[in-house]
Amino acid sequence: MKQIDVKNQKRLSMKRCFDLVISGVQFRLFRAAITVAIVALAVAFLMTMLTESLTAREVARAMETETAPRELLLYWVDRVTNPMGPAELTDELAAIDVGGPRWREFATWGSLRDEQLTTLKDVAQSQLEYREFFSGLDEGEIRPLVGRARGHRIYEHLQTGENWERFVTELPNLNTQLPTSQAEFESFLSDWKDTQPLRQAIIAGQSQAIAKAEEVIGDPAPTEFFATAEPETILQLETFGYVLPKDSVETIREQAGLVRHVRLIERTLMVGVIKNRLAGERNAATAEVTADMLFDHVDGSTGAEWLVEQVTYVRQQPIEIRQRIENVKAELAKQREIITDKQETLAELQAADDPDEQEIASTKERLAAARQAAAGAQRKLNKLPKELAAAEADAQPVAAFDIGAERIVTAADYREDQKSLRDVESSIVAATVGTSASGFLGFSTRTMWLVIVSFVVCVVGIANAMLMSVTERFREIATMKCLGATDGFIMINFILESCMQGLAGGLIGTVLGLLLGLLRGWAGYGFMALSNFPLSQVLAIGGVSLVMGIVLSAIAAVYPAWVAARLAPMEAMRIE
Amino acid sequence: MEESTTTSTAPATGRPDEEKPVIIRTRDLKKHYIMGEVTTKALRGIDSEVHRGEFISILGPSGSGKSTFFNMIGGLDSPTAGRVFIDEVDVAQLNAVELAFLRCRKIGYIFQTYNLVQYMTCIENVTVPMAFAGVDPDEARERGMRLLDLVGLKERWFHKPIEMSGGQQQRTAIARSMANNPMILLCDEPTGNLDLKTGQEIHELLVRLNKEHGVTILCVTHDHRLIKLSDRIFWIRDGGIERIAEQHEIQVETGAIGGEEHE
Ligand SMILES: Nc1ncnc2c1ncn2[C@@H]1O[C@H](COP(=O)(O)OP(=O)(O)O)[C@@H](O)[C@H]1O
Ligand SMILES: [Mg+2]
Repeated sequence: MKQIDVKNQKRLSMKRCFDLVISGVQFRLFRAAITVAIVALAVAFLMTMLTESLTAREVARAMETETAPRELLLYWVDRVTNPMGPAELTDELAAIDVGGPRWREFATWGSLRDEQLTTLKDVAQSQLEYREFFSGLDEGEIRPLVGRARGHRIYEHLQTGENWERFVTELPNLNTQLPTSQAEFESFLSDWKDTQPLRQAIIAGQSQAIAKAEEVIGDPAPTEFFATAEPETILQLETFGYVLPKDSVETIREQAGLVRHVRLIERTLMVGVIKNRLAGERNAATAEVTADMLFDHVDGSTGAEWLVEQVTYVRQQPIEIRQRIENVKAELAKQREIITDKQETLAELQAADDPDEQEIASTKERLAAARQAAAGAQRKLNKLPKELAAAEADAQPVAAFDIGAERIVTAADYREDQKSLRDVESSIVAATVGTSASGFLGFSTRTMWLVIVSFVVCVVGIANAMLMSVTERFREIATMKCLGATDGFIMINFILESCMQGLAGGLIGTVLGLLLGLLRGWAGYGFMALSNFPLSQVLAIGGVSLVMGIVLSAIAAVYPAWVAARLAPMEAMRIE
Repeated sequence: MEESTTTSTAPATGRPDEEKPVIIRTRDLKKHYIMGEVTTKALRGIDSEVHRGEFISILGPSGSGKSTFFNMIGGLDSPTAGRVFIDEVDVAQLNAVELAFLRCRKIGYIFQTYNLVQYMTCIENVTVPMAFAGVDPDEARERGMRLLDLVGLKERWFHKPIEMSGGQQQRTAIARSMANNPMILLCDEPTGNLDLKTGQEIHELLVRLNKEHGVTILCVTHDHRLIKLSDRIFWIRDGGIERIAEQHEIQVETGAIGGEEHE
């Protein structure tokens, strides 16, 4: 008869495991808090990095669209003023779009056919390779090869047989090698020579186009031209070979207009009166007045109207002074008339047989008064032209000021935007230094390493905390085993505990990291970070971070849990 | 599932009855602890038989191998050589999960240090083995309360171990050891940390469990009053059973035992 019917021990339901773990964790809150903190730190770090790099990416993307109009304007200002040199032409040719705007321009300027342009493109592409080769050499290496020739002159230099011979003999002495075989380089040189007239034709055509464009643009700066000229006038550029898309014209005009308005506002500070008054308005010394202060002041309808008033006043001054000159002149003429009149009367009175002494005295008196008045007017008249000159000088910088309050505000906003864009641009440059475009989630390799190291540290930290927890609980674990706990239960117990701590730490870390990333984005990119905040992506990576926290904790708990599960139940009997 | 509840109804007799089934049998049980160069022979070949319902006291000086013996018959550790049969089941043949089953339902352990789970209340501690046995929580609670009533701690079911005296903790531990109606209770110096009076209360409780519930009890002790109530006594010395005394012999020798056993 067998009383004991040994069966497999039951597996505990997950809920029971969970309840047991919860009560255990509550008991060991401090240790749990440490683990939670470690996880929170690692996850927060990951989350901050992710949020930051995502924000940087979004902001950079937004920047591109934000700055595109301005870039377009700068590009065209450059195009109609600066001819490109041979090196730039090579760059352009190497990257040219077949049939694109550039292609058509070059075709017109150089009177080139498509096949010729294709050849030019091929030559330019090889030329870039050789350029890299030659620029990689230092002075001591390049001198024996090609003498004093540099840049595209090297290919000119090597056209003569003598120079080529020298090049060929010196070449083997180099540590570096030509990017292609010598024969290929030779054939490139001859191609280059053959196509050189074509390139020169393009450059010559371009110079002509620029000269013609200058005629159309006239005296003012190109920005002024783009700002004020009618679209038809701007499109005239097309007749010189430029390919200017119609929709670009509007953008260019608008941008140029804004730039012009900003400049107009800036110029008002050249007027002493306005500068003084602005200083008064802002409670600052005149010397402290800056353009930023001015724009800050006019960034609002009251300030803008104030500026319009000032400009009107300044421009009114010369007119008023001129009026005054006229008035004084009239006064002077009037007094002179009176003087002549009175002098005549006086002569008549004195010549009379019976001079009326009283009358003579009063006439003399009036004559003196008139003389005095005339002298006063003359003095005024002497001073007024100087005043007029000063007023005219003051009015000169604002002569072209033709914008109302509304435009002023828009221009001030635009300037503010441009300024912050520049700041953001430099932040992005700083943030993306060392970032490879192919980096995972926009991470640089350095950041990637940092994150990985933080994970390793996190896992080690948790594992250590868990191991200590296991050691402390030797007796408890052994007792549990005496009471029927299976190894699996002990294992699950510890891993579950760690996962729960990981969940808590992950949650805290995710929120913390999100806030930190947001803050850092804000510090770096200002409102652009907030308006371009990739919320849905960040939420997604928040989920990833959370899972990461749990997974890390689970991984970290495996070894300690295994140690616990392996513990012999007889340890419970041991008495320290 | 077939619960071996028959044990609880089996009446215990004063004398070892040859007709009674053997519940624990060891055959040439050896345990050597190897620590580097040194080999400690904790058990040097123990042959023993324990019958169902017996109350056995185990005596022996410290370090003689009593705890090791308990570890072997309790399925807590595996012997170096020899065999342990619990109700004719060879413990060595059981896998880890079956061993857990055995420890959970067939054997109860009572430790000198009580070994209660510190973060659980009295009743939670008592119901832990039931949870492992898969007993429904409500039923477990009811059974746990009955067990606490049995050990006289019904009113203190919500106390945590630190809020209880040593005696109360040990009684909780006894209630816990009875959680799944085991056939065997292994008590390793259950009163070692208790004062004399409390220790005697614990002994009385153990004897009552033996008499009323028919649980086979093996108890390491030095208390001659308990020894007097035992069915048999094993003297263990240097890893071997030096002597086994029947109950009728004990009555005669009691006086001597007390003197001999003082360390
Ligand atoms: N885990 C162990 N490792 C090594 N030696 C042990 C171990 N457990 C017990 N021993 C040794 O085995 C012998 C018997 O110990 P033990 O069974 O605890 O004696 P008792 O319980 O009778 O005091 C002692 O010499 C002890 O040092
Ligand atoms: Mg012992």
